[in-house]
Amino acid sequence: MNETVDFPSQQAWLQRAIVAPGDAALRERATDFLRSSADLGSGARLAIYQRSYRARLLEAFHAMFPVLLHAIGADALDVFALDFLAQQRPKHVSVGRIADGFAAYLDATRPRQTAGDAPGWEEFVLDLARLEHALLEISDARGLEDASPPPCDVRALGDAELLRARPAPAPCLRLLASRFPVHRYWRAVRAGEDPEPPDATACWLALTRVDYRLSPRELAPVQWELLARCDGNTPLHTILVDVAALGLRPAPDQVLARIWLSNFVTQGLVCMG
Amino acid sequence: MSAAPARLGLPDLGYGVGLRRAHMAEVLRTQPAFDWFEIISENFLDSHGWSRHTLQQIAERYPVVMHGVSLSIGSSDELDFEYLATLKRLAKEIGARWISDHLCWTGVGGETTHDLLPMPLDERSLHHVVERVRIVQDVLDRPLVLENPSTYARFAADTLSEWEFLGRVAEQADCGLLLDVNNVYVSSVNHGFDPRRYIDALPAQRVVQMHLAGHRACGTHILDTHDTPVSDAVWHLYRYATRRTGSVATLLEWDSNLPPIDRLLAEVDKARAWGARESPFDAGVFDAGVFAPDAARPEVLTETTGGHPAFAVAEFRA
Repeated sequence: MNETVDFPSQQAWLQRAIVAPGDAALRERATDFLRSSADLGSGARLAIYQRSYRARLLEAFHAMFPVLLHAIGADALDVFALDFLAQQRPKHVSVGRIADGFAAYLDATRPRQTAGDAPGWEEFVLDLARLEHALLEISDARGLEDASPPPCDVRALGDAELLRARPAPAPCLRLLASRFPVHRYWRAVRAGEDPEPPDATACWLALTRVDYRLSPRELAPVQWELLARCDGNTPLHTILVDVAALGLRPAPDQVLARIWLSNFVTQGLVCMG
Repeated sequence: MSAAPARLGLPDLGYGVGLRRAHMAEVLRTQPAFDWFEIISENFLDSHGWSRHTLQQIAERYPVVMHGVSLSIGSSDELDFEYLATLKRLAKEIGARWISDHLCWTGVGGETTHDLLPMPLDERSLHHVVERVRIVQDVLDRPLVLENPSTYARFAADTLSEWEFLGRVAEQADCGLLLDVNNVYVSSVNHGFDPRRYIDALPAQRVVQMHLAGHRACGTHILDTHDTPVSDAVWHLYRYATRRTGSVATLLEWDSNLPPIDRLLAEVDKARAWGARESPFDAGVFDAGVFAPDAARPEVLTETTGGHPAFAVAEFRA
């Protein structure tokens, strides 16, 4: 052991050895860096930290993705999580953020299907991971519980005023276009059931929080597209023109927009400035 | 050394318990007879949902202390000033009585292990930590309270004992100490020292708070798991420590296999009894055999099937 080794070097070695337990060269240096005792050698002492690192992060993944855990089992989730963590090591001070980017990792590494194939198991896993991560974000996001002034009465707005309005998404709103009805599967598992994985059916979901409770809602594609364009800057008139250009049914006119926006406000999906 | 006022002038809050999400609704509804609560700061820093909302209401009814796990005061990385600012905002919002964290580092190179890793203990790292504690206290505008972690390894190049290191940090940086009695015991078994030596070496007047928790024996070592009742050896050591420090705020940590609130109340009542000046449990306090490592061994946890040091379990929605 170099007597002049500085503490940044000691820290750098220990961290590398903890996060890469399979690296024999790092492991062998435990005898240089760590003390041994009769009962516990330096390698065994390092191994305690290696196991702790892995166990703590996997425990966090299990807690963050309980329904994905139910669907694919601990062994499969652990393989995905460890591979993801090897590529994207935790950086945020909160362990609750270690899964940021996990769904994108699943998307990037899943087997690719041939165009025209029905969505398969990989897409179900990905949709479920996206849903659970979105719900985590919604749980902690700023919400509308203490919003003031009270929600605007969209039905009372004049036509011109309505078209000039610039609806903004609730800070806790997340939109998800899913190939499977994973929200129904999620609800069933959280209710203690053991449902079969659902068949593929495209769903357009608006996920939010109302009075501190999670609220997943299924929308028509045209409603989802309208909601997706509510950014607080774009006037409703422009939003309607853009959505109409998509050719979805029913065509979004001013009458429908008034009803939908009114419902969106009541459901805690948007706020009207 | 400095003549710091007892507990740096901070109050003796009595006997409390770590506030965990699974208990928050019940705490608010039934207002159980704990004197105070400690939160894991990081579980609330980025939360603007139900848990933060409920914490605010609990903080209106009980004293609350913030206990962090991500300050990484000993890291060779730069301090995270954004984290400190967030910490300060939360402390102001809930009227936190004090802010504590650990003598450790959690990561370097911009990464974190989310573990409380052992400090290299030498004069250079001591100077480094003292400087950083001063900076943190300036930013937070209040004293920092530093806890001794449980450790499973020491660096070969260490030139100082942990108790000397921690005591000197406290004196030189003028900060408080959170004496985790269970951690002292866990480390004493894992490194083979007399735990009373650790407690005797700390500046008693700087001890602002104590922690009690359960641990598990793993044959060659013990793990600080926070998932069992406090062991007899730790109760004795707690009694020993309170004789040095006088009465200080005492907190029971229980993070895994979380029991119902009634069970926590019973364990906290045990702490009241052990911490009382006229304790019915005095016999054996100074019997060195109580602290012998073998006392930790009857209960064996197989690490390959579960168990890891616990300091802050990630808490997510119920």
